[in-house]
Amino acid sequence: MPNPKSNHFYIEKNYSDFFNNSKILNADRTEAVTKRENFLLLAALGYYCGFRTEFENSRAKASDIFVMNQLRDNELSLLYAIAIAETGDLEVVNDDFKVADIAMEFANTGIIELQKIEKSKKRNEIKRFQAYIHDVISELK
Amino acid sequence: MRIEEIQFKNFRKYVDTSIRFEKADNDIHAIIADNGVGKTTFLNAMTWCLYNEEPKIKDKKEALPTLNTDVSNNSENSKEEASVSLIISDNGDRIVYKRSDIYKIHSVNSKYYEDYGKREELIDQDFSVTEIIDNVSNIIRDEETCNEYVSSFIPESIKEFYFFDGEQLDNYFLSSSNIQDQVFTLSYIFLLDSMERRLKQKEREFRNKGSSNEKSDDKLKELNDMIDTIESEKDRLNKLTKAYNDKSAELDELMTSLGTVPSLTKLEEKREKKETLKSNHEKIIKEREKSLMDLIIKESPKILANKAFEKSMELIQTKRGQEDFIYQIDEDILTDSIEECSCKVCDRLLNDELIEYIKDKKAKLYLISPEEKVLKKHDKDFKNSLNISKKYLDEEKRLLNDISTSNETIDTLEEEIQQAYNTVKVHENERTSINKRDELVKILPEKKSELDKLSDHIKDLESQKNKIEKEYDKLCIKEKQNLDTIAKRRLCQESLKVIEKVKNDIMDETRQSIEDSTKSKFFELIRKTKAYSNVKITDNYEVKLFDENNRPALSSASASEKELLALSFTLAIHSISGYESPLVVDTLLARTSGVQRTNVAQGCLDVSKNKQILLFLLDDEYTKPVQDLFKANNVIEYNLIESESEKDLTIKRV
Repeated sequence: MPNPKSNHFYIEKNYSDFFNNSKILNADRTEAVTKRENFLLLAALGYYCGFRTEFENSRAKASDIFVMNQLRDNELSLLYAIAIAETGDLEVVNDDFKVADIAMEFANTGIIELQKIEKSKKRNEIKRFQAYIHDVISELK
Repeated sequence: MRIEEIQFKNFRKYVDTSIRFEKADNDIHAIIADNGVGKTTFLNAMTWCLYNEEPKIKDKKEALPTLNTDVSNNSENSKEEASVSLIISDNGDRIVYKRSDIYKIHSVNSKYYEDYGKREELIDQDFSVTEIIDNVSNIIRDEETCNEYVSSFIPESIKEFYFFDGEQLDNYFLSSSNIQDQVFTLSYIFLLDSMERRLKQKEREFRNKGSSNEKSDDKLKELNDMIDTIESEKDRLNKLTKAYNDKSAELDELMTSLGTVPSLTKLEEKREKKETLKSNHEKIIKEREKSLMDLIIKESPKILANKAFEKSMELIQTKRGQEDFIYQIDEDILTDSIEECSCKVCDRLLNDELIEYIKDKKAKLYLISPEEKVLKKHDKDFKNSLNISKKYLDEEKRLLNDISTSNETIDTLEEEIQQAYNTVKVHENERTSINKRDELVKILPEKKSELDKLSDHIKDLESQKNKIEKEYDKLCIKEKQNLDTIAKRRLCQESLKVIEKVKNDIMDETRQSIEDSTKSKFFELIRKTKAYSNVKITDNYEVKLFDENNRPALSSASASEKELLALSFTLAIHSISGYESPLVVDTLLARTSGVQRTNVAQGCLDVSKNKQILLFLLDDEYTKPVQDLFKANNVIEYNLIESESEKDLTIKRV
């Protein structure tokens, strides 16, 4: 299990190659690609999938990608919303480590889902992901 | 006049042979031979005999001796002669033109051979004309008189209209200034030119005689200077006008031959601009794709976690509805206000009653929780995240629209770029002509404006000259001397004006006559009268052909139609010049084929009713239909037969 006292964000070591080489996560952008933003996308994707994936290995063996205080307020909002929704407890926002743990486990699920999206043969990765988001939006309506 | 006989002696391959052209209904004579046998030598023999010139030999020094090689090889230290005699009949009288080259043949051991590498030394040339009237011969050897006899047959200045290469026929349309010069000769304009020069000279003499004192001398000098200036400016104007007309004709010809071929330079410039534009659109696409990725990475998490935001907001709202949260009031503020007896929000002093009220409220109210402190900070983000889908879709649509528009533009641009490449490739071999045309299109209006300015300038000078001349006349009249000289001068001036007018009238009439004659002959020969409506000869002697809708049609005319037009124009020149001498044509049918070839042959037959035609044909162009046509019309055929040694040949009538 990950160390609950750490304010570092990690991803499962087994996923680190995919995280660093994913075509969607590493596509050209007007701004520099950041691990922080990619992590948030994965956490949200995992949340959308509806389950968390625990770390198989100890956090010491996981890949450290950024620290809590690098998150901007709007990014933190996303993690808080996920943590509140997951626990049903507003007080969770007082516990950053717990918020981080929930986000990391959802991010692990997000990676698995993103791998599936990228593996599909239809169109290119970006277009597939765009279509995925469109489906989500349709569902929301 | 017609050519009755040609006799050759030791002239290149023609060792000792002759050819007689007997007159039949159709005075057309077909001389048939394969390439390299001796057709061109035959033609050259004729022009050499008359003008001492062989058209297809540019450098006389490089030319082989006119003497037959065998004759030269079999001789040593002797004199040998090569000659050609052209016998012309003119209403029963005969004229024999004979030219001979006399050679001394040196041995291979001689110094001459050592110095020049050849044995034949041309030591003399003889040209004579023998006039035979009523069987009485009169031999003329005086060069000037002989040349006059040649000119009475075909003047050298217009020989191109009598001896020409059929393959070059339509080039007559391209060298209009050359034609113009030759028409000047035909119209005897040069006689008027010499009269004009003479009158100008006399006018100047009379003008100079008018002055009799210092004052009038000064005015005379001023006048003469002005006249010299005008003359020199007029010369300049004439040269510029001629150059302008030549360039205009060149442009017309290029316009006709190039049709609507666009400017390759402009096309390439446009293509380069389109390539830049395409590259800009490619950059736009890349930028928009990057922005799309920004959007996906930054905004899609909010969409994916939309339910989390909804759920969180619900929880927060519930808690707020139950007043579990206290907003705006901070425990420290209430405590401080009670302790200091003044409101820490509005600085108002608090009396006991108010202090008690606050104490009561403080006891009853929940204080703000730490989580509410945190959530308050994120309140706005939570609310905004709920409505992100529409914003996301709008922005995505905008970016995709931009990408799609740029992609469509790139497709169009690529098509246009490819078209430009193809057009350039197709017309690459015409690039020089196209560039020339574009350059002429650019410079001709400038040249025209220069000409107009120069004309205006000359008019100004003329008016200044008239003023000076009047002043000069006044001074002369005041002296009451030389009135007679003034009168003579004015007569010269008036005569000059008349000559100028006559010159212009003759030029106009000549051009008009050539046009009328060309037109009538062309429509007589062409047979397809409906395809063409008109033939015009411009002031610059360019031949223009118009189709049934009166549009220029020379460029679209077939090779045979062009040849018939050239033939008509040539015959018009024959008719206007008054020299109804024979027409000698080399390979007239080579550029045509099928029915067109037979049409041209039929055209020649029509012409030959009134004019002798010597037609030199290759075996290949003398096809079966042409042979049948000629045989049916009793055309006399001759074959040039080469000996086995290929050093001499004979002419055999078929």
